[in-house]
Amino acid sequence: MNLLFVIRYLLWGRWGRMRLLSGTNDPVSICNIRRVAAGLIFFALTVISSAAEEGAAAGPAEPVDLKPNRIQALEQRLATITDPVAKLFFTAGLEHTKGDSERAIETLAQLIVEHPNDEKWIAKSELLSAELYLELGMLKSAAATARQVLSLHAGTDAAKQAAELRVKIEKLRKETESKESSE
Amino acid sequence: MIRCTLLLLIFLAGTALAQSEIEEMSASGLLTEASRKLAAEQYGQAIPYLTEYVERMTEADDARVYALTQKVRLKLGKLMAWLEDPSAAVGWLEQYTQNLPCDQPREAYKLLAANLYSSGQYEQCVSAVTNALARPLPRGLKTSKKTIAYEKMSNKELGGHSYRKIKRIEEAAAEEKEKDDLSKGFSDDVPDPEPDYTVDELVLLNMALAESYSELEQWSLSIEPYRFVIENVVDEDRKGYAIMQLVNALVAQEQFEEARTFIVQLYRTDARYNIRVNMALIKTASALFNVDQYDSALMLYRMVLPREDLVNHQAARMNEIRRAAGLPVVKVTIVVNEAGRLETLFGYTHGDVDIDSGSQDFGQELPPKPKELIELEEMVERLVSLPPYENEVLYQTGLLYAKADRPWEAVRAFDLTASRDPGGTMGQRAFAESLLVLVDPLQKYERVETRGREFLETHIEGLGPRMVTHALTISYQKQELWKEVKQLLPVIEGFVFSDEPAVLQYECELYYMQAIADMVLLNYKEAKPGFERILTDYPDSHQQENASYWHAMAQVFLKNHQEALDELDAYAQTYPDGSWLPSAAFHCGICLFGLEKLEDAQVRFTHVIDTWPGEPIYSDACSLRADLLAAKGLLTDAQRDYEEAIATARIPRQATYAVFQLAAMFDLEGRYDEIIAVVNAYLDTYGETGDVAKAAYWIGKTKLAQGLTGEAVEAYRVTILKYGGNVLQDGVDLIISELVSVSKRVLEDDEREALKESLRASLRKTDNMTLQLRLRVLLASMEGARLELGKQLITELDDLEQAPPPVLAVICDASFKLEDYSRGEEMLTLFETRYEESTFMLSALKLRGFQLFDEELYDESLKVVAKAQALYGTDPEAAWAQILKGRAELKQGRFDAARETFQALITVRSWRGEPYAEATFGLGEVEEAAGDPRKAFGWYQRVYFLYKGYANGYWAAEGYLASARCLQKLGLENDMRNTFRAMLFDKYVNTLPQAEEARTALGPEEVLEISQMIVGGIQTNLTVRLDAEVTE
Repeated sequence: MNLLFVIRYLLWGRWGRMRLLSGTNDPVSICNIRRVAAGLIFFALTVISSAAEEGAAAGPAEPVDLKPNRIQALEQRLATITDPVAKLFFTAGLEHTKGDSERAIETLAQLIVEHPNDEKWIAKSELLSAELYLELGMLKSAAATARQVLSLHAGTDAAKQAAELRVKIEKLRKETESKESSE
Repeated sequence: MIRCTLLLLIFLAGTALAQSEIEEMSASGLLTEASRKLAAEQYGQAIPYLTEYVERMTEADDARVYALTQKVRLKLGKLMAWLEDPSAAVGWLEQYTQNLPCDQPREAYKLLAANLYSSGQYEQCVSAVTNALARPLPRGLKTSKKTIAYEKMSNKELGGHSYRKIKRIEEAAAEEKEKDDLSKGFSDDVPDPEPDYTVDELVLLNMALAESYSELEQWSLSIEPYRFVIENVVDEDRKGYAIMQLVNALVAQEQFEEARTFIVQLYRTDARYNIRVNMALIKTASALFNVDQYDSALMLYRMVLPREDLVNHQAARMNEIRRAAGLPVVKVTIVVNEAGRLETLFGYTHGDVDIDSGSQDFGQELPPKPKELIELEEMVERLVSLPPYENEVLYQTGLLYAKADRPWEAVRAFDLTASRDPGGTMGQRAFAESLLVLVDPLQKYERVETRGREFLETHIEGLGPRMVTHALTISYQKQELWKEVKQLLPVIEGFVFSDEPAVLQYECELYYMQAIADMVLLNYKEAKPGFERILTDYPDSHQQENASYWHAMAQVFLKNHQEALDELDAYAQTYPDGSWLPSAAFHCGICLFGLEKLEDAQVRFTHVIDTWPGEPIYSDACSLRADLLAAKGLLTDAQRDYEEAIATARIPRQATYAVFQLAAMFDLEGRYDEIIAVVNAYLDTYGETGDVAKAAYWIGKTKLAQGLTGEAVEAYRVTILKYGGNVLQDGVDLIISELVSVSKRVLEDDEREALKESLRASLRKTDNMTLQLRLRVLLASMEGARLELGKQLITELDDLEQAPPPVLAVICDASFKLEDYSRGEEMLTLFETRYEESTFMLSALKLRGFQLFDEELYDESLKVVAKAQALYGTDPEAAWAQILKGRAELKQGRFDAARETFQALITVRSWRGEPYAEATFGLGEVEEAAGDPRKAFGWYQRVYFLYKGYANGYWAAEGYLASARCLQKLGLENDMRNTFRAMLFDKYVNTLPQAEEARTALGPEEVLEISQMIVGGIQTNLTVRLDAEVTE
């Protein structure tokens, strides 16, 4: 009998209690599709929020090939923002547009933790956080965040979008599960 | 409170002075004086007069006096309540409600309830509120019934009526009254009922009731009154507080969904600015967190306001009240005192000028503070005197985010906590928690490494460094970097000692993880003292049970079977409900197996099978019992157990073992179709998670047995290429051995060449080092170039991690050939720890056995021999073990044993050939060492007579030289020279290096003569005969 395998099996069985994988690793392919989708949603929200901030009308999301322009526009906008909470929100938007989703979600986390009662930015920040979790392939986190947006900000636009997002997440989860079981 | 104190002081001061005066006053005078004081709002001063009045009238029996006394009691109750002396108020109000007439019971019960609650008499408060909410009616005095003796009355007194008539009239009137008034025995003079309570009063009563139930922890009863308050109260603060309390009650009742509804309602109010609510939020959030109600807990934690925000909010509110009351506004300053607590300074401001609040003169000129302001100031004082709670809330929020699968938010909350309190317990705990989240689920290992190591460079004391080391350990465990786990050992040992329980617990855990890392790294020798450390240095720790079990398991892996058995039995006794019990019982069976107590082992396995059919170890127990049954020849029973093991396997390994043991069993009986069936079923079930290479080996082997050589060879080749890159696929190694054998025995030359060419092409294509090594060994074995390859690999391979067993065997063989035994121990350890079942371990055992012999550690060497013989028996390749055994015994001077060993060898048919030559030579050595050169000569001579064709004549040459030596010892000089001459004539040995000794002994002239004779084709018949011939 190969005792090496026995001990590995037994040990890992024990260590199940000790903060093992929480099953958040999702296939990269799904992740990439979501990355584009979440990027567009993020940008649209950023533009809308920014317009609202400055009292301007919001236009539709720009096409993907206008990314450099978008970055420039966001950078310029960011330089003019004085509200520290808004600044965090737009910084996250800029980071995401530059392709650094993880950085963006960290910045949003800062906003959420440090300004949980900011009525203007908190709901949309949490919604974006859910989107970014989804984009990063962390389905469980995306679902948990969307659920909490629904709870914490019931009746708001963010809650409405969170409900739609949850449907999307659930669909993806089922697809992933059926894909895994067929493999 | 201030008001109460001042009035009481005035009251007490006046008491002594006025007492004598009061005692001299008439009852009506007392009431007049009290009324005068009350009219002048000198409430405290009215009390002695009223009290004296009640005391004086207690014994009176006049209805009017009763009524007046009751009114005074009620008045005293109200006064005491106003003076915030709830105990005294309760006393008067109880007297009022217990005596008659009671004209204002609703008012009295309302006041009584409020004061009972204030004085902490919750059960009585519940009773008072219940009475109040029953809407009691006023009660008058009982009518005194006087029996009149009519028969004794005079006619004048009877008014001309007979006494019987008067009695009838009286009885008729009584009946009529009874119909009208069921108040029975109460005065006809019933006052009008009080008006019903106002909504505000009902809110007050319900709040007192709810709070009393809450204090009495009768949560279910508190829900309804709280609901009433929430629905009817106007004040937002009070509503928020009631919601908060209702949430607490619902949480206590585990009605989480309903609690959540109210939390959402609360979240939308400004209740958080209420200090009492703010404080209660933390408690409720924590309770919700503990029952996994994360969404609700998060809402509440978010509502908790930082102390400064709360104080600022309340300061603004206080100033509003102040302005309304004509008081100057106040600027609240918060400072930290020496004890680290916050203090407030209520500095008065008037315009830009600070006004000293301590100025008594000024204070006396100010209007009195409204009650609401005083209460608010007291609340703020209480708030700022609390220990800081913001960090606790932030930390708890971090934990909540971590639990609720929002890892980045968790990291941020922890990091913020840590940055606010870098040196404190909370900060360091948060820092470690942040690392744990970065490990799982975020897998930011590099960040954890950098931050953790940086922290440990400057922190060696307290809980923080232990927690951080724990996080690093978890990180390495997740990455399976077990060596890195071990590198933390000096860090842990460098921590400053502490006997704090929390520190000791973490330290114990860290050492436990170190020992576990040793186990996973297969360093059982190091793991054993590691677990001993837990058991000795941390007695009764949380890891006591685990450490006991794993210590025993280390003994199992070290093959200290008796010690392991004792420890496992002790574990079972100490922990009759232990989590490792089934596994411990199973390993007891393993130990008994190791101790060759096979019957006992079978009993243990049967015990496991009968007792724990649902445990993961069940399948293993079935397999091992099947092994034992198969060894006894009970093949049907064995098959049943193997099949059960396969059917109940939890992981592929379990099925793998049973399947291939069963296949081996079928193979013995030539049941090839069943082999194919069981292996195919295994492949269908486990696919690539199973041991496909071993399955291919068995299928190939079966095809060979069925004569399907081409198919078998192709299946082998494909399997080697597909799975040979994985060092742990030991089935590939079996295939390599089998393919080498098949290519030599079965394949035609062209087929063999084609196979080799195909393998060479694959070798050129692959960049997988393990596969390359396997292919090189396979080709070298097919070409008879193993030794050369081995020599090459000795210098080529520094790291043997990726070297599969055949490669290690080649290296062992080459090292042995070079007589370089230095890696003997390393090689055998590698096999024993990684490839214990590999057939290639024989080479490592050989190298190690000879290493120990070379180091003159004969007993140790004999142990290796015993192991080799136990594993390989009389396998042709294992003859060296018997030789080594004889040589070791000879070195130890145990001639009889050595003689027996060598003689035993030359009876084993599978060891014919060179081993026979060497054993025969060994027998000569034994006799020579035992002092019998004559007998020795006989064995030596036999070597060069019978075995000169083996080992290129090496042993024959040695035999000549040893024979000559014996003859010399016997003084037979001529025979000795004849032996040398015979050696030089012997074409098998005369070109070997040993022949030089014969040439030297004979001298150049005779050597030249012999050379010329050989060239001339002269044959010799030189034979030395001695009396004592040896017998086999």
